[in-house]
Amino acid sequence: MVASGDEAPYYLPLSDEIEVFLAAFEQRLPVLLKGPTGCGKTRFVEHMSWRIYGDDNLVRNTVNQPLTTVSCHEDLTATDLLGRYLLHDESTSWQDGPLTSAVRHGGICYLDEIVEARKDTTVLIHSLTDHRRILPIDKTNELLEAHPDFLLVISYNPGYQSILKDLKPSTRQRFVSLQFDYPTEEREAEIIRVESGIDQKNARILAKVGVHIRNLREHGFEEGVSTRLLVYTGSLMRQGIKPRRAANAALIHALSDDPEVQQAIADIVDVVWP
Amino acid sequence: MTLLSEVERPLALFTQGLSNRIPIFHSSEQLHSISGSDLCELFLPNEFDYFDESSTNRDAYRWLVMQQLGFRRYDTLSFSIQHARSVIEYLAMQPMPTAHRAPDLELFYQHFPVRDLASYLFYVLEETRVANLIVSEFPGAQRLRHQYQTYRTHSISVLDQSPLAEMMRLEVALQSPDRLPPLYLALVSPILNKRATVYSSAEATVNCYQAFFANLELDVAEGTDGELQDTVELTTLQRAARLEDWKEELHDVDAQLMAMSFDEDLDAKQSTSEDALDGSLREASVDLKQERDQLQRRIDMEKSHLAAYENQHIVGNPHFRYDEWDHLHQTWLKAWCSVFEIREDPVTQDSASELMKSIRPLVPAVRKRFEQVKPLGMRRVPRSLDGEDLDINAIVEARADLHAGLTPTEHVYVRVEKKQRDVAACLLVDLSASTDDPVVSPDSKHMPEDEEDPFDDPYLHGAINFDPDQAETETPRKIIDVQKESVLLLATALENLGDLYCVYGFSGYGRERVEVHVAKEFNESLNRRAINAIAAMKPLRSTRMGPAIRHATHKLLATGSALKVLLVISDGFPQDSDYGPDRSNHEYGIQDTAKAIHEAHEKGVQLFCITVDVSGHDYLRRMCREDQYWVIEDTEELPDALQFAYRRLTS
Repeated sequence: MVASGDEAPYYLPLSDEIEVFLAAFEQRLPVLLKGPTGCGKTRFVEHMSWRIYGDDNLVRNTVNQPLTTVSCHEDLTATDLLGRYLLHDESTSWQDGPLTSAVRHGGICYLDEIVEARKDTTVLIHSLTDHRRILPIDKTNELLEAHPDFLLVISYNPGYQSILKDLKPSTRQRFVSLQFDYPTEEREAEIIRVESGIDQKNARILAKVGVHIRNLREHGFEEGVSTRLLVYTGSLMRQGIKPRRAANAALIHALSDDPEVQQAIADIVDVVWP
Repeated sequence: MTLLSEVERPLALFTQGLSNRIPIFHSSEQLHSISGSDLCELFLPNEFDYFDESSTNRDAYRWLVMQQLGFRRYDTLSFSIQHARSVIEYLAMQPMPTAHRAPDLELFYQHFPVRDLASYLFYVLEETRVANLIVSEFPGAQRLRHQYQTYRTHSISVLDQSPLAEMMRLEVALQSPDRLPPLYLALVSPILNKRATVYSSAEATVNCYQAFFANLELDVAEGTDGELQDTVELTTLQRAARLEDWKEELHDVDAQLMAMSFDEDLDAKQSTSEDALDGSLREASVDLKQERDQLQRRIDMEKSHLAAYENQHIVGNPHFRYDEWDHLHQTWLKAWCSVFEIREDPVTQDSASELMKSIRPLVPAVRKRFEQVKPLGMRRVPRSLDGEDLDINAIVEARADLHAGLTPTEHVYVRVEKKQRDVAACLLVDLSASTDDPVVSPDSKHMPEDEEDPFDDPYLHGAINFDPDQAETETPRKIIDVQKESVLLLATALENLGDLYCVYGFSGYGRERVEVHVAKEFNESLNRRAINAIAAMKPLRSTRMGPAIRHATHKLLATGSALKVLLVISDGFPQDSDYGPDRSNHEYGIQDTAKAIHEAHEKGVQLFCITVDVSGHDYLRRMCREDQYWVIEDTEELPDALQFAYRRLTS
């Protein structure tokens, strides 16, 4: 995915994460973003790539693809990131994978939910994340030195889905770490207002709904409601859908398939909304 | 009619969403069976049938939940009689009641000639104040409040002149504060202010009491007894809240004492002079111990007031609800059992060292036995859609197909995968009280009575030849000891094998409190903490096996492993205090456990029960298939049995 366009992707800082990220970029230190699903990690990277390679222009070279996002999944292997030989009629040719391409040409390579990928991918990035900044590709017999404007960013969600997936300390300790969480009620209301275009009063109520649903995170279901879903609800309301119906479509059924959990969320929405 | 059990789970989640506390619902017919803990204790009727629509009855439950949460949130339960006496003149003029250890609200009521009238009046006024605050925070709750009020006030007769009717008329009038008659307005104005506190309600109670009942004859007023039972006793809620505060204090004092004993140890080691421990540290420690004992006494007394069951461990622990199979009525009881995960970090390591010492000689042999099932190396998976290398054979075939005019396959890569066992296992250990029994070898069990040594009488020995050192060192081995050794031995083997596994102990204290003690989780290694926790396992209460198996199944499914194994180690049949119509009837527990085992099997969990109870055949064959259980006659065979069962299930 490429971040492009004239307008900066909207991002409301939680704390000093923008300054820390810029400082890390200046030193080309790899960055790890930790936090629950839908709290704004991906949006933050988009915003930062727009600032670094676009508006603030903190780089000397032109980078064609400022941001490459790879959504990791359990079948993603090192080969998928590095590249592979493709088969043609009478020959084969090497095709760079997304990581190799970013290392070769510069830009941010963002590996989203890295713990989801197979274990061999995490070992692959070790040599890129220390002072060497190299990527060995044994298939092409290359020792690729990273482009001066290349930056590796990874994200993961501690405790997400399976209790078995965790980032090894040997990997974790190679990154500057930024902790994300859901924004405070007030900030979340502001994000919902800007992103969905609804008025402040309704945005505040939606943020309050979010706070109460997140109280169920530990016991009712694994994940809390993301800011993204609250924005979706606001967007439906902006299109004229009534609040309880919008919440039903964008929140309740998206969060759980368990009828009793759905009922509980609907009950919470019911008492919070006037 | 709407039953509480039908709406309990969504209601519990609703409560948790609003308050971020785990609720426990009690029947409001048993107002005094409350237990003090950080869990949210709520009192709800077992059924509600005033409205025709079940959804409206459910709304009434929701309002009751919000109301009781409101009493906590808006400081009703923090009411202090000292503060009330300092701000309300009428109270200051009365002598201070001397009820022993009564909650402050009770002391407040006793400032009035008729305690019950004051209590009801205060409830009506305080409920109005709290309801106003709830509705301003949760505007959608206004509808629930109105609906519930129609139920509360439906039986009020305008003509009735009794004191109770007077208060009910006030309650009705308070529903429309804009249209309050001037008389009422003057009396209750303190609570209508947005910044009203619980003391405003107390002040309004004094105003109303003096206006309505100042000239009331006592015998008339006392005739209202028994009619005022429709409300939750605020004093009961306050007792529970107070108990919780004391427990927190006790916890703090314990922590301070522990820190002090550590300092003392340190001083003793560093200093060579004998008087190193004299002085302020020791004195402070004595004071703290006294404070601790006092607190403990207070807590014990308050508990007996509340007829509480022990639940000091479950504060803030993860909480799960599971259905239970009621075979008598052939129905599922929804969200019937509460399972609490308890994670203890034992401080002492002595028992762990002993446990390690006892299994050490056996570890190499067990490891070797398990080496045989360990897979080695990597494996190449040809004809993959993607992979590290091109698969030449597949390419040749694809080219041939292309020439022949057929669609060539895209599976032309070789993928290299590490060989691994995808196994998750749960070792579930019964921690019922009976595991405290000594291990009896089969030989001694079968010894005929006439062959018993007439001199082998412990009392006789004690009298003639008592050796205190020997008596202390040779404590008899108990079933729990053998269980712990077997589990730790298996754990060391599994650690080497690389399988995922967890170690849980379980015990039942009735349906509201099934405990699962987590010694080791799937994602942890067998570290010092885990070994300490296994060593610290001890006999507790009963064997409520159904919910424990359901919980273990739930945790196994969350691992996502291909092969899921549950090993249950127990010493008797399933039983618990409310596990069936009465405790002597084991059929209910057996049937529920059989259902839980069946469910686990349906969900792909391989289950195996090992019991050291020789009568185990009688009930185990009714709970599971013949190849799913094993009755061992000699407890000392447990380690071997466990290893054999594990290897058979996973290889």
